[in-house]
Amino acid sequence: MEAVARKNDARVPVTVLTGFLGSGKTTLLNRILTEEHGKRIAVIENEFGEVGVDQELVIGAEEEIFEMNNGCICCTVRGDLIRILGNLMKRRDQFDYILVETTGMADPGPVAQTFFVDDEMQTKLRLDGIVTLIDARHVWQHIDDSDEVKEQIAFADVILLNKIDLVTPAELDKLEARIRSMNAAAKIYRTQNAGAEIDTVLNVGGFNLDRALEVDPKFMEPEYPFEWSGVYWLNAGSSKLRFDIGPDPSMSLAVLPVEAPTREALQAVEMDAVLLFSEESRRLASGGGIAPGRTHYELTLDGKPTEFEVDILHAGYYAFFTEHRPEEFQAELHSQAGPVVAEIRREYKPDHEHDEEVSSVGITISGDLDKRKFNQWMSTLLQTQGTDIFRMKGVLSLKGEADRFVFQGVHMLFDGRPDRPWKNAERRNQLIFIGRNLDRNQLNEGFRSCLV
Amino acid sequence: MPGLIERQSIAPAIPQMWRSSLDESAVSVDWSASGSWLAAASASGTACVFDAASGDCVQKLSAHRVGATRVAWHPEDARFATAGQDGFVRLWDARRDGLVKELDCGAEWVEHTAWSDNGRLLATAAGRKLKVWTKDGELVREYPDHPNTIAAIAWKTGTEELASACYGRLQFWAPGTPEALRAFSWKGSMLSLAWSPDGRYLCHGNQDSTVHFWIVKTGKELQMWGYPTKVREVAWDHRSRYLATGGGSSITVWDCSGKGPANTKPIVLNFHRAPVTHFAYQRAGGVLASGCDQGQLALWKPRKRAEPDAIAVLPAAITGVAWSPDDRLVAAIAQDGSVAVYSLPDRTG
Repeated sequence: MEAVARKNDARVPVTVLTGFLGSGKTTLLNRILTEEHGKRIAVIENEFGEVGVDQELVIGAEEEIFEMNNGCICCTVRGDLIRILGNLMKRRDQFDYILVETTGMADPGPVAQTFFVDDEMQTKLRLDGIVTLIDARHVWQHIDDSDEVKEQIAFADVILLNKIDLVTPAELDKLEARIRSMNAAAKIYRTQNAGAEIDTVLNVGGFNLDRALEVDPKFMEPEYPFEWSGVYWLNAGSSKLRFDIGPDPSMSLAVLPVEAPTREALQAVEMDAVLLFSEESRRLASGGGIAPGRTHYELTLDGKPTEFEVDILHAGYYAFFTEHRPEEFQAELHSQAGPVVAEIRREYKPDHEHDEEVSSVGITISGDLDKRKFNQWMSTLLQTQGTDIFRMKGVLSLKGEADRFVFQGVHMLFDGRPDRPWKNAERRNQLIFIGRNLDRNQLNEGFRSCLV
Repeated sequence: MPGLIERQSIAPAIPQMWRSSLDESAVSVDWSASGSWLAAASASGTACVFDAASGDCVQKLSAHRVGATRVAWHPEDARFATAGQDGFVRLWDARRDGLVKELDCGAEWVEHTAWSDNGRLLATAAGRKLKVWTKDGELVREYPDHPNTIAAIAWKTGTEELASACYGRLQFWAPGTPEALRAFSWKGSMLSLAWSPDGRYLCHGNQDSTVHFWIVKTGKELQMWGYPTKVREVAWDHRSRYLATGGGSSITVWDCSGKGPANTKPIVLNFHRAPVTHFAYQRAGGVLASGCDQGQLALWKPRKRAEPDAIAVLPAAITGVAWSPDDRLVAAIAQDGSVAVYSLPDRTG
């Protein structure tokens, strides 16, 4: 019954557009209105940019943040939206869609919460998604010190890296990696003139439990203790690994034989490297010798040019795993014949050493959860860290339950229910937290302790 | 053989006098002082004046460019005010068939307008702007901007003192004074205001699912908790004894006599199966008319029975109810545009 009711969800979908002034929100808004011109769309605009919105029903409103008497952050809502949307919902001829354009300084938290805390909003409207536009060129001026930029990225279901014509592909890659490390669940598109396909920004179901875990699995991948690996062909004998002056005083390294210069062969030894990196390291000063195999080296660099010997007994392919990217030290590998170039290389999502205030923590663990323990853990977590948890979503395997349990949440608001049966699928838990100052290990350990 | 039968209230139907319809959702309804006319306004900006006896639409006005929000009849004369989402309140004469005056209220949406009991003054609230006008539409005063959007206004019964509510603040105003006479701080979002007719209490329903009372003279306050949803509807009976409050599908009625409602058990009226959207007490009687989101209309004598005395149904959510000046008729409007007038069943009232 419930599932049927949801499929025929008659609630009016709402999309929230966030992003700094000049990031292209109004351009996107106008594109949506043009392409969806047959539909009845209401626009609520908090920001009045240089571009006008070409639509009859545009309601301008100033943002009004309402905190409730009890001071609980999850009860912070947007009074202007409750008032205006409540009014729009009184009409007989309902809208097909509602678009809300926030100011560049808006905190998406209260916007999202408005749709879950207020019963009238919840029964008549459905928050479809938060779309954040990023000015690919100018965002660098704010990304480090603007809470608003970080929050808008963290809350987003869809992120448009806009104005890509103004930056180089390398800058764009760097930006995307940075954003991805903050919000691993959002879908990221690169656009010029906010030229996204309408399907990618409307009806995204960002808060829909049925789509609670459409997270691209590659973003759920584990964190690696190294940032880089490269596979080299080395002849038997001694090669030299040279480093120029770099930013770090030391660097962890491991060298492992691999079968071939392929992604698969590299992957086959990655876990070995992760294990090696967790073992105690052997310090090595400049001039020291490195042997492939089960040793975790810590090379002393000390801000000077250094050189290490790599001693190879059998010619073959070897994978070098390095804590930092070799480019940072202009690292080079020289055999007797001259410089050797990596035949394949891979960069890894860096292990967050608290350098990014806002981050995503993905957890994937097989097995069943103890319901009581999980409830206890989650409720404590939300009570103590709910302010810093912007969004979360996931699929859980609860002991004794034939159905998957899906959930999503905003700050302290938790919304979950049983979903379809597991049947023959492997029962496992997959969840993601996006927030500020998240402690990856603590979250992982805490969650693991809820297993039966 | 004894058995269990689910007890169902089979209340008699409220006799319908007539029913008409507006072009869009009906958003506000009010009776003329004489009781001869009924005015209703729609979400498209249309206002209609109906002959109260026949239900004929005697005037159809394109009152506002966008939606209308309120219609308020003057307490004595044959004129009424409409407020709209175009920033204006317009004064209309029911006899002369036309616009008397257009009042620029200073912001895009005029959401509230109200006549003082003596009919001398009209207050308008649009965004943060509160203005007071004469009955002919001359501006008497524009007060300093509120810190945020005005959520409700209410004249104190029989006086020219006006209360306004916005997020965090209740303020009191007089036409002769440019600044607020007084202010109460309350951290939260108020949704409605209701003076007890004796002026002792000022009460507001709130976004945080509470109802708050002020004993105005002393500034003492009192809060009622435990509502399942936000509370918008609050209404006093004419003797200032009972306060009906909404917030969910039940209506909770507090007895405010004696020492007040603190630590007393309220009367809870259960019939509606959807959130209660509107209700009103008779002007000089004890009957409460209530409407809900599913179109059910119910008449209650809450002091005597916790079940409705009579019921009726409209095809969509009830968006307003109003008693005629003689308390013998009740008008109800709905989201599908319905405007209906019912007469009080014999055994009620």
